[in-house]
Amino acid sequence: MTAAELSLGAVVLAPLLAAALAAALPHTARRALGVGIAALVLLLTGLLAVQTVAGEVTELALGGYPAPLGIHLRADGLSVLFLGMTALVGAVVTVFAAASRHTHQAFWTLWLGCWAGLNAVFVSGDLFNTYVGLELVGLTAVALVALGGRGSWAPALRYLFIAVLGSLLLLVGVGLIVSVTGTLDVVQAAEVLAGRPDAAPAALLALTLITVGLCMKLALLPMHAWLVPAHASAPSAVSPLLSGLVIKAALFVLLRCWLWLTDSSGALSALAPLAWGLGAFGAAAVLIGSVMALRQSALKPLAAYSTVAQVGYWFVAFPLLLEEDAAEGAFIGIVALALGHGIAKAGLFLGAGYLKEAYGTDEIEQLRGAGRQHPYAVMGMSLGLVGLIGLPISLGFTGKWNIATAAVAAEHWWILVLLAAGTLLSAGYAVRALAPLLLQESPTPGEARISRNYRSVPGLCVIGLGALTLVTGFGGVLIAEALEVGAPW
Amino acid sequence: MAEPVDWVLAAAALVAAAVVVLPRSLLPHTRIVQVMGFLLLSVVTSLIWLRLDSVDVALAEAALGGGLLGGALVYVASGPRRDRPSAAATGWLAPVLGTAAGAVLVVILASAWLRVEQTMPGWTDPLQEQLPATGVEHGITGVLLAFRAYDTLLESAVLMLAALAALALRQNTDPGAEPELASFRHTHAGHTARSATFSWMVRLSAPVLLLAGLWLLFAGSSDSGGAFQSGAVLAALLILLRVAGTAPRWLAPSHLNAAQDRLSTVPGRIMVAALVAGVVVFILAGLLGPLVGEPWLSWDPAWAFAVILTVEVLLTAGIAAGLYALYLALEDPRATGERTVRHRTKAGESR
Amino acid sequence: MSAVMLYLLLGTVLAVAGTVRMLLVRDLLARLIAMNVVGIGSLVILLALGARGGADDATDPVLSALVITGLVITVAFTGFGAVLIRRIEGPRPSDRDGGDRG
Repeated sequence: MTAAELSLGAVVLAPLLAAALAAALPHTARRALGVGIAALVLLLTGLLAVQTVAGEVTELALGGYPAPLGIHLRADGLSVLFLGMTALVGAVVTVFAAASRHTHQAFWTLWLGCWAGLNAVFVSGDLFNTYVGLELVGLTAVALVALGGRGSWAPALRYLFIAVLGSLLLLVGVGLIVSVTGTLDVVQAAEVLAGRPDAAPAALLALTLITVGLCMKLALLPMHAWLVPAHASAPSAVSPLLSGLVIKAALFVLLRCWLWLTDSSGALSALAPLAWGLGAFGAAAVLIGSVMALRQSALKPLAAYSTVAQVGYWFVAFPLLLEEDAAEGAFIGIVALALGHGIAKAGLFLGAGYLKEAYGTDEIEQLRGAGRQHPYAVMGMSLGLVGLIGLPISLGFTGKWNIATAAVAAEHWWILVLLAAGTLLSAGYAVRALAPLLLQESPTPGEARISRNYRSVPGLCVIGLGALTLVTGFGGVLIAEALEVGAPW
Repeated sequence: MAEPVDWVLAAAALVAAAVVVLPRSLLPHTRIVQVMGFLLLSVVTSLIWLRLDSVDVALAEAALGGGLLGGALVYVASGPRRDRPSAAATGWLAPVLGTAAGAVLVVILASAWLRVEQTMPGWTDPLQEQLPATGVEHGITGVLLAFRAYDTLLESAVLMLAALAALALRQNTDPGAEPELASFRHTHAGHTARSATFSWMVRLSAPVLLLAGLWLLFAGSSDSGGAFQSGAVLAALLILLRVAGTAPRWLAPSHLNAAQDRLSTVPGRIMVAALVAGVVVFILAGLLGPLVGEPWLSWDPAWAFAVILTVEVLLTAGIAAGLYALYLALEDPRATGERTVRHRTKAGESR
Repeated sequence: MSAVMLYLLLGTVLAVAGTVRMLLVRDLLARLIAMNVVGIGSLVILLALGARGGADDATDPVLSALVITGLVITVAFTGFGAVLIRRIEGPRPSDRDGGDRG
């Protein structure tokens, strides 16, 4: 067993073990454990990334039982990219939570459990195991929201309802696939489906159920109403995890099912109506989400509506996945946008949460002049917003560029119009959020003279995420190369 | 072909479901009636599982879905409730549209099933050939604890985290909060004053439940049963003992009610230890494989049985503790208090 | 109609009816119960799919194991949901001394 194979299991089991242990430890020890695990997961993810750079897919049959009986863990390029983004964002937020005075005691158990679930989804090669991993993520995410106090309980419950409903749809879809193919392994199931045209109707029904279920978890437009209160009322350290990481798990599974379960020729064409439906809802999400974000008066709801809009971009590119000459570009574009959003939105939410803890409110009007007192936090938020708009040197730019090129290749001009409109609107809400913080005087002039807060670790975490937004922007080319490892085509 | 018994079961399930889902305007019912409808549905579903030759699932449904869940829902339904504006305010349009949309969806899905079922290829699975190598004889236990042990681990973790999250919600854990709520220590007194007959009945049935739970646990390797069913029965036993007020002190951590104790008391510690022990030992056992160069979660056939048994016993304890903890968290909403700093809740409430 | 088809349809009707109820009803507990009806419907569908092997064979162990897993997870979610409902409907800090415990 190689080090990479070892870390394939350990990225899931180490945080899970820590989650269980944290429940029995005193509070200070929990912080130390959390930071230690964050470092360990970074290291393990690095080991897997080295394999990917060498062009190899890491694979492990758990318990020594090969599929279809056992469960395979598999880390290809797509897995490693999402694992890496999760490790980076997760580590920064972990440090933030360890340094913050407002972190709830139960945060550590739940967040480490959530991290284990996220990694479990990203390395799973098995459909049912993916479902269990998503449930681990869903339950801990709901519970993390509920740590926000009385005002967050109702949004948490609403989130719970939608998460369970989505999971059950996914479960029925998975059951249908196993009953047709006799295997739960993604790769094996795809082989069986490719060899059996008579199974196509069942596969189509299964994929439809899975897609609708995952879209609920992803808050695609008509099913987005749960996201805003849940993400906005969650504690400061939790909102970045929810918007940055948790919804990416559902996107990852959706991409896995769409691109790996169907071979590019036959079954995909039957998905065309579904893909166009998703594209239309995605377009509506970009426009409506951005407009709603513009109309918010508080930072966290603004960031949450911005997530609704960003989810739309990913789906706008779904019709392109069916076009032979545009599929690859669209795939790279979706992944780059999702990774960029993970880092940038985590930075924005972390900054908003930081200010909310510092000032007791996230109303933009009352945060006027906050940039003078908390330069790091506001600077980090600005960089995050640069990534969300998709300005050059950010993954958001790489993503939009790839989707735009693919749209030109497939001659879907409406996508270009939509990308332009979405970019303008997002620039609008960025100005709406930032201008008062940076340019205006503080409402209580006396406070402005309080010494600038340069040394706070939470502030450094926010600007750290902002810097990551830019640094990863240089890695756009690497994404295309990484996705070649274990690519579906 | 579907036999009469199938039709009867299906009809019974529909009737039970109708009690649950019909709106108040058509079928005047309270929360408790809905819960009863759900319990009935759960019983019918157990019979359907038996009809489909799935004894294990029937046992799990009866113990978990029917027994424990039903109990928990009854508890919530009979609890205090802040009155909200009546549901009738939504008017008639939404229910009619909803029902119509639902009917259309059923027709679409039914025709999809018809088409799919005709074209679906049959399948046989290679399970039986591999089973002897796992140390267990019963197929489902083999799947749960050997081939798909990883799923079982993650699933136990879900239950564990749900219980820990529920306990966190009932505690005062906000840093910087002032200690208080001493007066709530006694809020639980009502539960101890049950009738003598009831506690006598509980005392009588407790050994039976204990035996049933243990039998389900150890029979699982060769027959129907297993950690989840057994854990559910044992949790039911704990809950009964607590409701009857006859539980020994270490089993009934009434200290948990007092918010300031923060699970630091001895019963609280036992509870948390039981909750996490299953998952912790499962992962440590999974590490045995990598230590000798094998994949994660693989066990040498020589000691596979011992490992699986140890893990299963601890998982059962964890499942029982988890379900019991969820019940404890349901019991006493007072104990949670509300100590969140005001400004942190404002944003949530304003929308 | 075959028994498998009957149970597939039953599961579908239960799941859809539960979903519609979830979307329409305001009462939180009624929603939680409806969620469980959806859960039961989905599991009936799964087990019916597993029973396709033939009338004499027992249901496929893999799908049975999946159904048990699904059941346990649904129970965990429902339990946590019930705790949340109790908290939401519990006394607010302001009526701490009002004392209307059930």
